[in-house]
Amino acid sequence: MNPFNLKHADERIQVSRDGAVAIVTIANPERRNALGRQMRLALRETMHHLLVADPESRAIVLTGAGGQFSAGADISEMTKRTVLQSREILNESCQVVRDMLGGPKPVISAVEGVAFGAGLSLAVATDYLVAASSARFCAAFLRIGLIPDTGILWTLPKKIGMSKARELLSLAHEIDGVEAGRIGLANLVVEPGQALSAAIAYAKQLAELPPLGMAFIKTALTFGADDMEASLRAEIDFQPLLRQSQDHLEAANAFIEKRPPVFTGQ
Amino acid sequence: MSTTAQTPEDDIVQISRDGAVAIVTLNYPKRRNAFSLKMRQDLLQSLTQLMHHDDCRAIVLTGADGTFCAGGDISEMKTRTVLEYRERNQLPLDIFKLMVEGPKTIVAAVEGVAMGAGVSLAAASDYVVCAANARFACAFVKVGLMPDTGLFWSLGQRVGAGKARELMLTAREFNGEEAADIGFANQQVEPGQALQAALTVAHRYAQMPPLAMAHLKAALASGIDSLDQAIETEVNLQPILRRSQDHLEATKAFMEKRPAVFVGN
Amino acid sequence: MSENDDIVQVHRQGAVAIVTMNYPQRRNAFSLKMRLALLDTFQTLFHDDNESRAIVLTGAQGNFCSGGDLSEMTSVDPSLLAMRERIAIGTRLFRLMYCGTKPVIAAVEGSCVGAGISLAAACDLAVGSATAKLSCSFVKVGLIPDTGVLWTLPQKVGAGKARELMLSGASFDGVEAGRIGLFNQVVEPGAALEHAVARATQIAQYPPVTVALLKASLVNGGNTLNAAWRREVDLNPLTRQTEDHLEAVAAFMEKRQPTFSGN
Repeated sequence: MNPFNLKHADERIQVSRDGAVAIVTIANPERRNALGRQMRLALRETMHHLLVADPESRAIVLTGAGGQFSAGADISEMTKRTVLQSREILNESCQVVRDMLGGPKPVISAVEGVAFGAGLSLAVATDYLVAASSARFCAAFLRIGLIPDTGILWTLPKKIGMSKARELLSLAHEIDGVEAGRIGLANLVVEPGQALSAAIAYAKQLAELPPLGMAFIKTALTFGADDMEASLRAEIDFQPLLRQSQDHLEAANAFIEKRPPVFTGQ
Repeated sequence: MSTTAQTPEDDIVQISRDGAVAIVTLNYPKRRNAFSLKMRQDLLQSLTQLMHHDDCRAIVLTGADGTFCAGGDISEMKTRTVLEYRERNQLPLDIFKLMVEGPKTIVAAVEGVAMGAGVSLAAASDYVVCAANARFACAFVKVGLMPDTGLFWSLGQRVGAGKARELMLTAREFNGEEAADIGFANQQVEPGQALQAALTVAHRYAQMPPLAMAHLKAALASGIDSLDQAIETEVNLQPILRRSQDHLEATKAFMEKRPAVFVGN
Repeated sequence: MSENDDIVQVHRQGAVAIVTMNYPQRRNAFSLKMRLALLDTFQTLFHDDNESRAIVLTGAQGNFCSGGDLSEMTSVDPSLLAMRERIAIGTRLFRLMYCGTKPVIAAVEGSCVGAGISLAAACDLAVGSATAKLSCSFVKVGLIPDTGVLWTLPQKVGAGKARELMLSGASFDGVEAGRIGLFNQVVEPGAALEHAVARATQIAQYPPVTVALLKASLVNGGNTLNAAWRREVDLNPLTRQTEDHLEAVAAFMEKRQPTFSGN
């Protein structure tokens, strides 16, 4: 089953659709969706395909099967690797972070159950996080003598500030969905069982917005985030292009004519 | 918990011990623990020793006599040349760098006043516990000075750039309750409870694997200036951790469903 | 004193210059004319005005700024290069406000939308009415947030919240703006200007050289450990040499109020 003809497809990374929203589900329920290397490669390629080569979708939801998000990297796979192998695997894992945050379409995570370790890293590497109140978040890395990885050293402080991020990353303690909402880790907290539907609803709203503007905002916020000059260059480079886009003209005219706009992505 | 003995007047930075946690107390009560030259020298020396001492796994930083640190010693502020000031600035910056980049976690326990350099020392810590009625202020601009001892970096890290700008430009006071609200403090407690609460947290830090903690601190200090740099940092550091004894021990312990015992290697 | 129909007016209250965006027919929209007038005004206030030590930015008739003028956007401007230049004007204004030598405090009532948010976020502090209406609405009209807000909104509200607001274009009020950190102070409708002027007056009493250096340091100085370090090493000795610092120390020792000369 390889509908997108990927090099690394895996039946444990599943794609379904709801209108203009593509839903990516991590499905390894007996291991609480722990991610082995094959699954991570498949996730990376699936996500990349949906972001850049899938005209049907305008927004993506990332979730887990069986009432869990992901318990993180598969510990049983943590056999001795050479330094060079470790480096390569880490680099592989991080590409999906760059793609989800800096790629052209909005990505929303829907978290039920556990988001531990790299599971947390993936949940946080999105534009918007919907959490069930009973969801459980833990940057468990230090508990097994590792540093937090899969981009979380950058994404978590960005999301919740350095004070809180430092606390969660270094004490490796668990917090629930309610606490996650309170500290800004979750953008939205819902009743248990509702995270996916709430995430899809939100994704559908974002899917209605002009795709070109969305894409440029995302890239500016991810790759120009840490440098004022880069931010200013982004607006000078992108805005004139956007001003000339069909979607921008459509938006301005629809507003003046008091009618709903129709966006094509041009 | 060990208690501090009566100290001679030049014991301006006291060190005591509670198991794997070292308690560093700023002790210049007649000037509300002002950050005098002697205090800076002794603090740098003490912290350097503790950072390299194997028995110490975490550090609590606090002030004697119910106050943390009231800031620079104004009586020491006489006229000096630019080069002399550059020289004198080195010491607080060395302290700041050691606190932020060093391998061991620092938990600040703040009672009373933390102003000027007092704010900087608290902000440079990894975790801040403060009494609800503690008093903070970045008062530098009022006396024509700029924030120092790394506060330009550390304040924004804790409360966000916008709030840091407000606090530095207005020089206004904020209390422990607001400190916790804005993220400056991780935890606020009843007056008088800060040290105890800080020790509890420090003991939790002391249980974490030392090598991973040291690398995490280094990464958060200067390894995450962009997404790409953060990814580079983890790619560089994680393989080291993967080969560590403590990581192997932890994965074994996980499989065998027992608590891990870390040795720091 | 400004003429009543000037698109940007300046009034003074002691050492505070109050800049009012005055295009009420369009709720002080950020038209090209408004941008150029603001650029000119700030240029003068920062570089050619000894009277003011702090600036308040506000809008006329109960609105702050309603953003880009959509009626200016219904047809394609044929020249990409001309458009680049127009966007660059906005960034020049932003740089002036953000990197300038005097603190700028926003007083926000009513509509604060699109570039209105950019202007508020570019200020050092913002005081806003509880009923202010805000949204980072650029995405809804297929544009990227501009006039520096890609940089300043994350600074004020955190990168996570900024991303949420920019991608959705969602609306929020002054109370929420206070909660997330875009407003430093939330006040009763109608009271924003008075409170902003009070804040500005207070900061205007601090030694001006140090305030200017502090603001300059906050442009890029807090970002990385090394940049912050450098800033401190290079600038602190200068501030210690100012007359105003020595006056502050003397005043403290003599238990009296200091008088700052600006040197």
